[in-house]
Amino acid sequence: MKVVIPSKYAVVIARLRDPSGKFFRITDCEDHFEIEVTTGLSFERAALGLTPKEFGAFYRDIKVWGGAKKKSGDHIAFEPRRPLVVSIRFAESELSLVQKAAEQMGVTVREFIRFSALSRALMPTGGGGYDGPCQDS
Amino acid sequence: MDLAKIVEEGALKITFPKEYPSVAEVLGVRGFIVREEGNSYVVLSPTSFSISRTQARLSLADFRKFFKNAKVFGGFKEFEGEREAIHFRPKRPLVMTFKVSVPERKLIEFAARQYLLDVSEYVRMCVTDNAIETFIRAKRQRETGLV
Repeated sequence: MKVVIPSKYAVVIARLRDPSGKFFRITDCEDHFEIEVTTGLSFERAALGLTPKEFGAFYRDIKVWGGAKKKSGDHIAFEPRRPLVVSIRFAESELSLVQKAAEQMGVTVREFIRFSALSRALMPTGGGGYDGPCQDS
Repeated sequence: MDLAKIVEEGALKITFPKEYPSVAEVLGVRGFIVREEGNSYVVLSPTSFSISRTQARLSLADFRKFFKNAKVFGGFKEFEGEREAIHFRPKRPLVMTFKVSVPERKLIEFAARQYLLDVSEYVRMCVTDNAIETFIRAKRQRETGLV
């Protein structure tokens, strides 16, 4: 998924930090910035240092390729298009454990599964050597 | 919600005679539910697990005898690594699907390869670990009065 942000938001872009480059990579394309994202991404208004009005304009100016953007209050979430289906077999006890854990975290079972698999893969010890969204391994 | 209560619902159940207290002890330390019922130990686990001969502190002959004597309900047992470990796994009749993007799929495949697992095994490991951690974290927060 690519998030395209006009270059007038250079100050905002400077506040986005991912030194590992595993979650997203920012490319300066002169009149705009391209953020290439591995998985979902979200922005908080306070972290970007914008007023509510500026945040609304910022949301409208953002373009997303290969995904969708959604704003709720002071939060913008980007979700990539997910056309592939992964099937996993579970024992009854495993699934009941997962259902209860998802309930506790306030997410659906599918979201919990996806989050667990991706967060471990993106951890330094989990993905061991994964080089980020621009690498084809 | 108590983890022990969830584990008991449809858990993998292993019973073995009381002549193997070292096995019961090591599984108890690892956090499994271990009970004594008559002349047997009963161990409950929500997911698959392995026990090695050195962990069980048994001789080669005793470890093989333990394998024969251990009864598994709702799952299977098998030797691993030249009979130096036993792997217990539950029957997995339920299928769950989730959607991913192309880069997410590549990332999961990459991570699974690092663990020498297939995608299904890798995702199951991440999910069950994270679920158990969620309960432990919640329990700790309750105990410290943060919730």
